[in-house]
Amino acid sequence: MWERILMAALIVGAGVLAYRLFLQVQRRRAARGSLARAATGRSAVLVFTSPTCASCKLQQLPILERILVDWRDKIEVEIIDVTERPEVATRYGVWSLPTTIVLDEQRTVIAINQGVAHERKLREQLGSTSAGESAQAGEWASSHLRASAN
Amino acid sequence: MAERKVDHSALRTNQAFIIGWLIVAFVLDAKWLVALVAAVMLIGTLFPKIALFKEVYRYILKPAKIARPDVRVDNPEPHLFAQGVGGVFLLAATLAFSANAPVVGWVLAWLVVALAALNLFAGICVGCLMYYWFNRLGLPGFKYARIEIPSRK
Repeated sequence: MWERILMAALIVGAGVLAYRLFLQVQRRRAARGSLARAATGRSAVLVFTSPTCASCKLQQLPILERILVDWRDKIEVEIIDVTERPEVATRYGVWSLPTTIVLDEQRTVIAINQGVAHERKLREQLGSTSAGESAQAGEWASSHLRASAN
Repeated sequence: MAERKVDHSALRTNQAFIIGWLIVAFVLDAKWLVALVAAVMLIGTLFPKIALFKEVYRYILKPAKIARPDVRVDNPEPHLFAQGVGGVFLLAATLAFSANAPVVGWVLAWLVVALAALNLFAGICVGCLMYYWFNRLGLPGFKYARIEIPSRK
């Protein structure tokens, strides 16, 4: 039985490794794609969607709208319809929807999220950029002021 | 037209059980367990209301708040089709075991594990993609197209 446990572990490990390698390749491809974008001094979130992607419209976009309430001046969000701009999806190596790609101010790929990226995760990823850090500092200051006023 | 909805937590629970039980079957060399999982998948496809693993989610995990509902606008048929394809693969694996071809059987079983894992961890439902492709080709029985959600102005 120990041999079979080892074989199962090796098969699962090989599968995880193959998937991670695939994500690395996608990340490199996205990094090459992001170099084509001019840096604007703001972090960016690219959201890949399509007319038939229900979770894009009903889950991912409302999450981004909530984030933009706090960070509108610090980040830019670009929604890319893969049916209208398939070349952009190919350039970034997008293969599932929704996909969100977080870029920092230098257009370095910070994260690639396959499937719906939840608000907390996106805030953490954006928080790791300098735009996100100043946005979070602003949030802390606002909440501190509110607490003091109360 | 009423919105069509699917609880994706039920789907993920189903996938997790399929992966888990098939790996256990491999470790224990329990070919009967592969046949059992095949039966659960095929019965669940033909009679969705008695899909065993999804019932575990519905009656145990959800009330115990171990799993939270994740209801989305979606068609249930492609997911049932994907489950059916997996069930057929496991049925073929069972037949391979009966025909004294265990390597073939385990390769098929691990293929189902890989596809279920791709769905569970990456959100890629290969069976669903096949369903929508057959829908676009106009094949009978694949009548539901992807749901188009209008953009908000």
